[in-house]
Amino acid sequence: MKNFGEREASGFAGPEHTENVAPEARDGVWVLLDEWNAGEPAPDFDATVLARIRAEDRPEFQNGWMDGLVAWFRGMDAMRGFGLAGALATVVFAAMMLREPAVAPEVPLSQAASQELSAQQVELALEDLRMLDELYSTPAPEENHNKKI
Amino acid sequence: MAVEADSQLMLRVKEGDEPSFALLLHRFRVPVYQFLNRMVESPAVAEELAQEVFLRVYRARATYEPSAKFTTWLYRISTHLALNYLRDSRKERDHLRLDETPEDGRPVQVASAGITIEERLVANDRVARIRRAVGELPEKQRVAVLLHKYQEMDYRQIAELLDTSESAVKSLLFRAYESLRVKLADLATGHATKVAG
Repeated sequence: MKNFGEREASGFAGPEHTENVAPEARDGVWVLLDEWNAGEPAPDFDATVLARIRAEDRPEFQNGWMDGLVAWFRGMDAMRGFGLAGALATVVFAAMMLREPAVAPEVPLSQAASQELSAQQVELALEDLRMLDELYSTPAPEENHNKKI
Repeated sequence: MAVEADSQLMLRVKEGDEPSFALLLHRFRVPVYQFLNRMVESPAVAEELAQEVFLRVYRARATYEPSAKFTTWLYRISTHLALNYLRDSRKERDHLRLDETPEDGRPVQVASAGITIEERLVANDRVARIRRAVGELPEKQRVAVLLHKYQEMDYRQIAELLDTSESAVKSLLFRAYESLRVKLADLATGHATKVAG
């Protein structure tokens, strides 16, 4: 169902008509609308908005240190970036050169263990000599040797 | 001149001057909040939306161009947020209207002070009827009336804000004021009687 205002508007001819009629309606209605006080925001409204803005202004620190580092590098100009990268490379290279090689420390053998080890070595050496003697004392068959070649 | 000063302040915000933003915030916090409160009829929602308006203004500072009045831009953001809220919460609000529950449980705000309880109740009822009448206007008519009456915008500025012509705004306002005049006719008579008495 249309209200009165809309019915009036349906027969509305143009802006001239509006300007002739609207002020009367407007003035009467405005007096009533003055009674509607819409209040004010909370006293800490400004502080809340500014705090939210400050929180938004530092997203790189909220996303983690790596993002922050990347953002910091991005903000840097090219020459300073190259200089810093060179300095970092030098520090890393120096650290690698100064680092001692990772060699396992020598563990001193006990006296009993060293005696046992030398006895084993003597036995092994004697056994090798015996094998060599057997090898040279046995004559190799000529035919077989030729076939192999 | 004040409007030009607002644009100048916003240009300073664009250059990174935070105190200028704080000044704009302080200058427009009440009118933006009141506009939103009249649009959505909920102080809590109006406060949340008003915060969002200023956050959006700040976020958009880098792209700000003073091609239009600062207030046109500010109230365009406010209108957009309010209409989005109204569309998103339509079902919920219809339910509340059926239950006749006052918004947020807060009492209706009455402009006058220093009156008896009975007069206050009558005044509350009058304001509730005015609010209802404005709330029942079609969206564009409501926006046009609120901007015209309370934010003191002219036809051209409202037209720019609503992306329409000045003649369309005149037509909107004509229909809106006529509709309100008819709906609130008895209140106007009461007011006239009260004033005459």
